[in-house]
Amino acid sequence: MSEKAERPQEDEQISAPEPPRDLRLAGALVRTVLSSEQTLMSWIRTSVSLFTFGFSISKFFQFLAVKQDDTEFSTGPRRLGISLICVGILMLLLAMADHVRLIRYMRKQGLPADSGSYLPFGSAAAFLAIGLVALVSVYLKWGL
Amino acid sequence: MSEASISKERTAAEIVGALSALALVRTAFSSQRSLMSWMRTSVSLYTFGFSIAKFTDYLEQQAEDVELAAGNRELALVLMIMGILSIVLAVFEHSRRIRRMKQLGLPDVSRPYLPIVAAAALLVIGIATLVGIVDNWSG
Repeated sequence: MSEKAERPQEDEQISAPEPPRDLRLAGALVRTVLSSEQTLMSWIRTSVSLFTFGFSISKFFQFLAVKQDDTEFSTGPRRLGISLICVGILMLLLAMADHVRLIRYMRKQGLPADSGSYLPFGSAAAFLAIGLVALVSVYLKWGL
Repeated sequence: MSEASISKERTAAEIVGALSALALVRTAFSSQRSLMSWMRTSVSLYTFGFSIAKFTDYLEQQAEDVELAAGNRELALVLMIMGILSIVLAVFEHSRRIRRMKQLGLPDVSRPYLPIVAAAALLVIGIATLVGIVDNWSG
């Protein structure tokens, strides 16, 4: 960070015969990719909370309905659960696509090749699979 | 941001321009994360409200003569309305910030509209849930 604070005064020197290597842009690109990763992780949290809320609500009221012998009772919670899980799945997919697109764009802008990891993308894919299982489980009324 | 790669020579002005654009992209991402945080808050508010409402219905069905302590349904309504209101306000805040940043030259890569779409979907679900609960009680 101190690098960034010192450099602005040296802007005139960039066109000097032997310019110092300017790392501000590379650093800014890496920070932007990291910011995109944090955003993808935020999407993961959002989607996972949608999955868990949707799943818990529909399963809890499915349980109560089975206990009560009233299958109509759980239709509202089940519909809410299915819509929450669907929104979570859709948004996580779109967010993953956006993240990949941003990384490609940043590579064209000169992002250092060794930066950026596939960890957030991989975990997003894993949580997407969990969300799909939750959706199928709620839809087919597995268990109970 | 210019299309030139950083391996090519860039003028000082081009570098400053690229740095500003990247700073705007990061700020837009930060704003998106804030909106997503609001989405999580809002969804937990209205799903808790919904669960309280439904569970109260269940308890009253179980013991028909018993009048539950007052306040359950009011709490459920307040939670759901707060959830819906907070997501609406958060979307306004986010889109205001994004408009401002567009004026300052935010590049298109940052795609700031995905969380707005998600928030709108969650808002529709929240309103449908609230209407369903109120309709159930009045009907």
